[in-house]
Amino acid sequence: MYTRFDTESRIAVAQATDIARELGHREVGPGHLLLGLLANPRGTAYAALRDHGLDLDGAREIVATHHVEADPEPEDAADGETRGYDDDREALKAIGIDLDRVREAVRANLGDDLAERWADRPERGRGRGERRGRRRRHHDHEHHGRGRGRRGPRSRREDGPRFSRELRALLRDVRRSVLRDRLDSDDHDEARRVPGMTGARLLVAITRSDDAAAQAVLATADSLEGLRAQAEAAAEQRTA
Amino acid sequence: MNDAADLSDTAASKDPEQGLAAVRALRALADRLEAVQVRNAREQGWSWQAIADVLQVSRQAVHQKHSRDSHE
Repeated sequence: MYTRFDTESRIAVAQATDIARELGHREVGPGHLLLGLLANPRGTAYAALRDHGLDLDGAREIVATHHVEADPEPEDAADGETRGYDDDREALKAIGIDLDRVREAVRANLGDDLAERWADRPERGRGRGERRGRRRRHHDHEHHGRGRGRRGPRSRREDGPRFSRELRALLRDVRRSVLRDRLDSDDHDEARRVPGMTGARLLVAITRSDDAAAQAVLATADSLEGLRAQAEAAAEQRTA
Repeated sequence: MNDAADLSDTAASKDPEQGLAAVRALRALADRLEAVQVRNAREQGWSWQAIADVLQVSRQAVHQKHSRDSHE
């Protein structure tokens, strides 16, 4: 199901991404999203945050020091080659290919070790040396030529920071609560027309998140309870 | 015989985890074999065009992909 973002929430996510990039963070987390809300003085979330003593500069410093990056995902790990080989050997065994025997035969006849540089495909070896980078470009080009498309997702690293696990969970929770409210609503059509993702809803979700950076910022509010209550009230108001 | 049934089951597995892993592994194997075989062909004096014909891709494609692996 599809939940529309209102202007405030859209700006907040965009700002959060920019700020994370400026801070040199690889991930956008709930803390950055909080900064994104604080960066927009026109927003309802901004009003609630300011009313409780928070400001962008102070919060930004806290996020800069408290943000915790998740470990890189396995697909990004630079050491995955032998593990990839072992996984693939199992997968091939399941469809009747004995990879070790192929490897043996290749080694005997051609002198090459298949396991060496296994899965050394451009998409997977990103960022490990200039030579691969050049091959990648060629590779992409070649795929275009044959209309085959590239394999697998393009690395998101070069598209800037990505959403952290916590932020994805947070957005999922907000979506769920929006859908729940829609089901409860008397006027379904009206409920569907209004964007469900609002700045106030995001703020409510952030106050409930256990993200370290977000919590560190919120701890500086004069009253977290008061802040949450104000955000909840604003979220209830289903602004058109 | 039993094996054969198992094999097709996995290749056509309804479990995406299994089915996709098989696809990924086949690709990795194909890519790796291609690199090794192209290099071997070059060492045996095959032209890029001849290699491309067998692989059924363009000469430019093979050359761009593999020229760095084979000594020119």
